[in-house]
Amino acid sequence: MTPALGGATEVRPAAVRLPAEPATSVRPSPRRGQPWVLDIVAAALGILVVGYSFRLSSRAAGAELYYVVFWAGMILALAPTVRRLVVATTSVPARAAAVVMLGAVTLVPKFLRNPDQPAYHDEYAHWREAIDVITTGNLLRPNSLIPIVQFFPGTSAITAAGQRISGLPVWSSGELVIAVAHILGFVAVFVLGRTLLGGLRSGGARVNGEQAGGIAALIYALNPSALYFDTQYAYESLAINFFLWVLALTAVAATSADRRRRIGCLVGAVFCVAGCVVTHHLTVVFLVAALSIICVTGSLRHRVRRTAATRAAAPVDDPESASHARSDDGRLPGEHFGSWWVVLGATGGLALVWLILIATPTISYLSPYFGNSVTQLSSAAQNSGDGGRELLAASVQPLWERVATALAPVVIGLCFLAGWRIWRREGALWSSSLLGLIVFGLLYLPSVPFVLAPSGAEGARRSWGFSYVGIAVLVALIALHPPRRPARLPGVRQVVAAAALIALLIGNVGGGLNDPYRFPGPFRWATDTDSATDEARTVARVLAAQAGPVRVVTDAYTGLQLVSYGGLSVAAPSAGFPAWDLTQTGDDPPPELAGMLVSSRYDYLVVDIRMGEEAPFNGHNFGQGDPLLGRATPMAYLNRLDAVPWATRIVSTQHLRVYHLDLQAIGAVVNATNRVNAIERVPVATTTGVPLVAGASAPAALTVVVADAAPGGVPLAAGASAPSRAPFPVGSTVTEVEGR
Amino acid sequence: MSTAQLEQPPVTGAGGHRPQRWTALATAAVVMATALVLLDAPVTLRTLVALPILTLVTGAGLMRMILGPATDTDPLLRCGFAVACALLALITITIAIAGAQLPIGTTSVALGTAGVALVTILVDHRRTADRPGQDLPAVVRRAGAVLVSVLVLAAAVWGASALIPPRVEIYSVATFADGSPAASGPIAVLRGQPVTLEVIMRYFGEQPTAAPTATVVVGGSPARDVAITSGSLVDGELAGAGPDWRRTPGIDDGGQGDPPSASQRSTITLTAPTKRGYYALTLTVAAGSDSQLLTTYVEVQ
Repeated sequence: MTPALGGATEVRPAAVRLPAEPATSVRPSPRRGQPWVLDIVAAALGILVVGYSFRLSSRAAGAELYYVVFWAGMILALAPTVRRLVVATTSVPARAAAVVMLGAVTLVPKFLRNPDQPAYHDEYAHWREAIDVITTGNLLRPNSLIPIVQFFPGTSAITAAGQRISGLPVWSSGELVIAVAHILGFVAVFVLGRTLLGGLRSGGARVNGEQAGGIAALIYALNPSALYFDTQYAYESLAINFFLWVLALTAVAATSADRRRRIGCLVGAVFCVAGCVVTHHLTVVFLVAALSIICVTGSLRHRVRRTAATRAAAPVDDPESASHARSDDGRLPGEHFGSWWVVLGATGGLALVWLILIATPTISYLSPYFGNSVTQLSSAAQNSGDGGRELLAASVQPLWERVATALAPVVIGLCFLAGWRIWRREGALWSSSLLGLIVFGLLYLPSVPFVLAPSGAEGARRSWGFSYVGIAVLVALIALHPPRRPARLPGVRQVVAAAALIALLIGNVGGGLNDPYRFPGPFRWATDTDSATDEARTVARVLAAQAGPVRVVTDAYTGLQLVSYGGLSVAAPSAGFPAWDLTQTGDDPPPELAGMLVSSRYDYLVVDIRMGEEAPFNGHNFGQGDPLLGRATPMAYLNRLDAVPWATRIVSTQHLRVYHLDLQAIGAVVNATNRVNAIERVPVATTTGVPLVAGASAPAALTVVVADAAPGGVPLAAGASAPSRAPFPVGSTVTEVEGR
Repeated sequence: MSTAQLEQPPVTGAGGHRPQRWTALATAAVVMATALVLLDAPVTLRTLVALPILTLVTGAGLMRMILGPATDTDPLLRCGFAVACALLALITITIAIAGAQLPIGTTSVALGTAGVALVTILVDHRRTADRPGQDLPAVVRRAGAVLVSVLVLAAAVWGASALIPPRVEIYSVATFADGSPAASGPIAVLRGQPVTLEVIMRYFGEQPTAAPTATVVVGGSPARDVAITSGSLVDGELAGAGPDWRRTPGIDDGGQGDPPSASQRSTITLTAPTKRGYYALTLTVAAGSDSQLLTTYVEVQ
């Protein structure tokens, strides 16, 4: 129960609250030895069916078929667990076990997607980071794929520690950590829902806290990130669970009458905050947002209540409860709302210290995303979609899944409407913690339009993993609110609820990651997942063995393999550093680019010729600045590299070509009459220069440094004419800029 | 699963007192787990025994320090938070090791974790010396149920994983040998003198069906006097020829890439052009239906 509701004099700790007068709740069944075998067997069978759907997708079966099989497997695996979570008669241990089972089953699809090695973009970066930490024995290793990862060592630290103790492979160690954290997250949501809703008087009855917690955990498991994104091996997958524990522990502290317990929970919450701060920047941002919204909401509410208390009683349906619900100053008795402020202060302080001492580049890393997405959203609105994204654009997703994706925000919107109606009747009985968390969940609604903005889409989707915690609590409240009128047909409410749950489950997952991320499949060019080949991994190892940890220009997909398996550094092309010109144009690189490549020691180019055979699945080969967006690279552009004097093919496979670049030879004169490629080699100083910081573009005006003939310069070739171009400028360097 | 039992150490009798035996038992377990790690015990043993002991004892100890001694309230919160503490402790210990300028290695991590675990055991012992314990048979029963559930689910995951067909790739990789002049840039040679190229072919997925042949084009014309001498086809990687494909325990994973099915070194000789100049050289090595192209430059002086 919410302490405020039971009267000021009788407030029991949240954790021990049980429904005093169950109405929506039913006393947990005393029956022991429930048919757990059924749950386990159903889960096991469902997992096998999910595996079969992956088999179908791997063999390029029709999408309609493997999507149906996948969802059949998931629903089979989850159905008994869901029932156990939502039914009032479930015993306390059984419900706790169901929460754990919920976490375990929702882990399975992502685990089966790539059990042995990284496949998602961020996984490559984190896996490489962990390997570098282990092999060097030091944290904060530079990361070529996602440079900001360097400054948030939580994931690599715990992976390294687990690996050192267990001796497991790095990947398995990381997977184990994410699995444990994922299950823990559901426990936190359960605790949160139980704490905020347990004992709350709703519709004239007291809410069963255990049941509310179970429903909250279930709804949270439906969030778009739960099944795939937040189960990948990456920092958010770890940090978001600390985020949930911060909220759960603070909620317990805020509703606990026991001072010792309150202090303990606050200390625990701050410990979890520290875990967030050293693990993931965006999670800290959302944590600050959540805590701030809760604090501000609660404070405003207290102010309004104080004002109202001096005038008249608030209009609630249950005057008796209302009279119990507020004290003279308008505060809810027994609610120690200051706990939220304490944790907010601690979060701000710890984040600031980490930002100043360790993670200074975070600000420049994050700021473009929000600014760009707002601009793009505005532009998309003004231009009727030009430059924006098309909602539910053509994909292999079956129509029914796409319809569910479109329905999911509608269902959530309806839930907020229902919540609003309950709030109007009995909002005075809600604790400020509950209200604040639901208001935080409201962030979901304004974030939905951002899916239409290229820069905002990912951020919007990722915000749902956080805002859904508020939605989860709200839906649990609505689900346990007794209907005002009995249903005309028996079982209608249950059918509607089940349909809504399935729509949310399918729709949210469908609106998350795309098909190649979700299902294994045959080779597909230009996806992070299905473009990964042993061939590319072998090239990475061979090149690393032959040339060392060199810098390489390559496409966005081959680069993942080169960095993670070869330890190479890969260029991140941008408008200021258009390294894509090496393959995406039919001309030699312009002098400015050549100067940057030479000075920054990008001496190798790796080409996968499949970029010339098919259009990129993701729409680009070199990021959104790719000059050939949406198109395959003309094969002539790739084949000419075997004829230009500035590149020699030193490694060759069926699909991959590794060129050693000698850009000093650009613009050489070819003597075609005697079919001798005679070139003049102009020695150029290759100053080291100071690398640009991550995220920076190359300067508009480059310093031109024309060097004298260097010792060892190659003499003019026979018959060669004077150089037909000026030496390219050098003196500025670029380094790889941020990944994602 | 009742988590109440998991957070409290087992004792040897229902309704008894938390005996000092628990402290001794926990201490011994931590010491044993640390020894397993430091003595480089098999991975299975370290994973199933040492890792749970070191992390959960640490986590449970920290949880009890933070939330207070165990009571009969809110077992799920306490159990969940104990595991969260275990994760947080590993992060904190690793960062502390790095902060102390020590290498993050097996010894430092194991000793650091064991140290924290022992401190928490000591603190816990002082605070809860006379608290009632738990019924050991009940703990064992629940642990058995959990274990069976985990095994069934693990078997299902293994079965599902086995259903997914692995992607089989057949390809070859051609490189200039490390010691070859072509590997380090243009080849300098006198007019009309022999040029030697060394190439390594690695075959993945299947072995070649024919001996390699070579075609060389220099400056756009077929090279003169081309000859290829191939070494024997070696299973796996040629000794000292390239990357170390051996798995590094604990670091290399299944996806790290397997060594080639076979590899072969070939030496190709040809005669340099008779005119001075800087010539493009294209080498095509074919073995059966497999053909790979490499390029370099020849500087004829």
